[in-house]
Amino acid sequence: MKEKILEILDDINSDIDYETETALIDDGILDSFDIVSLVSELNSCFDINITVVDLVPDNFNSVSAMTALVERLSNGN
Amino acid sequence: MTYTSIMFALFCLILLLVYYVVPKKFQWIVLLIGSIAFYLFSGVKYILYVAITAFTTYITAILAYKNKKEFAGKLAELKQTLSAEDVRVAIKKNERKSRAFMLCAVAVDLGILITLKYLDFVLSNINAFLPEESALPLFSFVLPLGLSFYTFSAVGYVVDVNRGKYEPERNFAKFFLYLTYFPQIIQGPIPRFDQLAPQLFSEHKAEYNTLRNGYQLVLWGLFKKMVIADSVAAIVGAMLKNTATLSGLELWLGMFVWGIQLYTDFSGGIDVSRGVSQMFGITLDINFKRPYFAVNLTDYWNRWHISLGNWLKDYFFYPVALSKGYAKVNKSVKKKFGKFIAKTVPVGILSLILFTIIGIWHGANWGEVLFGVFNGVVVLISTLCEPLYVKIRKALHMDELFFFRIFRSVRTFLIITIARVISLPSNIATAGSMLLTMFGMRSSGASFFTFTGQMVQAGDLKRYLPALIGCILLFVVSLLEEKGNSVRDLINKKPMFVRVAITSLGTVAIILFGAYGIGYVASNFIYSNY
Repeated sequence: MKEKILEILDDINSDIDYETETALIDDGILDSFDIVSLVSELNSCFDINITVVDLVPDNFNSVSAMTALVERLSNGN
Repeated sequence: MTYTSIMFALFCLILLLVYYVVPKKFQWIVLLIGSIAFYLFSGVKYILYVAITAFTTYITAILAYKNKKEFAGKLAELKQTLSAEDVRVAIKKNERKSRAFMLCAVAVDLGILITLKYLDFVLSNINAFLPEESALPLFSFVLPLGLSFYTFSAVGYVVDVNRGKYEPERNFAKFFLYLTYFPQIIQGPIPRFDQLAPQLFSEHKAEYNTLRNGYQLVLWGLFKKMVIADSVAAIVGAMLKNTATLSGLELWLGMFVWGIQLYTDFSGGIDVSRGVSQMFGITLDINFKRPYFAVNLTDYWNRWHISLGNWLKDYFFYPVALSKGYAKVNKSVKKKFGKFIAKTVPVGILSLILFTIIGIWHGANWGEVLFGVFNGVVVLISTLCEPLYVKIRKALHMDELFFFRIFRSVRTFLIITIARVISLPSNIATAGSMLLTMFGMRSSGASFFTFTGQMVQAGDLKRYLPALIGCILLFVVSLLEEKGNSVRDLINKKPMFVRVAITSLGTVAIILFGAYGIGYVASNFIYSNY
């Protein structure tokens, strides 16, 4: 799952070292356009439904946070 | 009662004394009484509008929440007695009911805002197509204090309750305080209930650091407003009166001064709001992050009036961009035009709409609408050109150049200055003529570089030097903060006599060059009309 998320992120912007970055939202590395693309790809790739309520920095600041979010939504929580 | 008046200072002082003297459990009541009193100063009848917004939002949020809560309690039972399909239908039905409560509040809140702020604009546009004798009457409503700010706070609250982000407030008086909290009612920042309410209703001890930090911020805000913004206001006024005769150079200079005035007026007002609130132990959100250091227009809007941009993202941009309808459109665009267009164009158009709303929010006239559209179009074009632009920057190693960083900020400032030419004059024709003169395509009778000094002479010359020193100080402070320093921490680390000297100097500067200074004309905050 993590590899697939990294692939999606690389497709959005390949200049970022996603493995080490932990403040993708807080530091403004991903902007609102990137977030829309990212959510759209995550929704279709993992067949989940990320809603506006899930759009908090804690869920998108790092790859591990995104992985946790996808896992949580995949399990129906 | 403006934030720069002596009356406001006295009002805050008395309220602070009472706030820290009464038993702590009554502190929020002191704030409520203070906020109602502050609101009533703006006109007794206007409190009716905010009361209607507050009551509708308060009731519907509770109804939406109760509906969800009661259903959640019955869900386990329903799952045992109904088929999976019937349960799904029941869930949908319940969600629709809660959404209906929420939409009821949104319709009433935005309905009041649209009627008071935009009805005359719509009617006057209809009248443009009607013969004079059949013209529709205009209402000329006087806007209640903080109309846009409290409306957006109310809408955000009821939407968040429906999203399940937090429970509704059960005490109407407490909810009314949240909507009318006096330090932010005039010009924001637009609050979020889950951040502000816990602070409003908790107990606060009078602490030296809190009071000192708050006072310092108030001083800084007043300095920006009274020493800089109000001192240069006459230059902008003179420019607007003489747009036809001023040279291109003078119009550019006048617009740069307007950029300084607007920023120091609005951010100064926000600093006063945040500082006063801090003295009560309540932290309000930052609304500005040195916008003139922005490297592009998107960056600029992430730094200017941050609470409005975030509000529009959370309650308009993301809900639409994450909707099923948007996903369908995106899918079909991807199929027809490929990945890049699907990734940029639909979201770019959405952002164009968002910027148009920002424009309309600023005022009911075509200048503001075009201001928003201009910003949206620039952002859309730069998004489309971004891949090519990044390639060029990388190939030429431009990001490593210090001058390129400065170039990007200057370019952004010029773009936003051009956008402001569209919205500043009272009509589009004047804006068009100004732009033509500024780009050397129209002559005002004098050559482009003529400098008559008539704009400068319109103001009080004695106030320009303090304003210039103020601008240099503001630039140095902004530069330090842009580099990650906290100027407040730097000051507070200094020995006591240095701190006292700085605070005293600030106070004296405001007294000498501000409200009590020669030639000072008290003016209201520009953003207080929104």
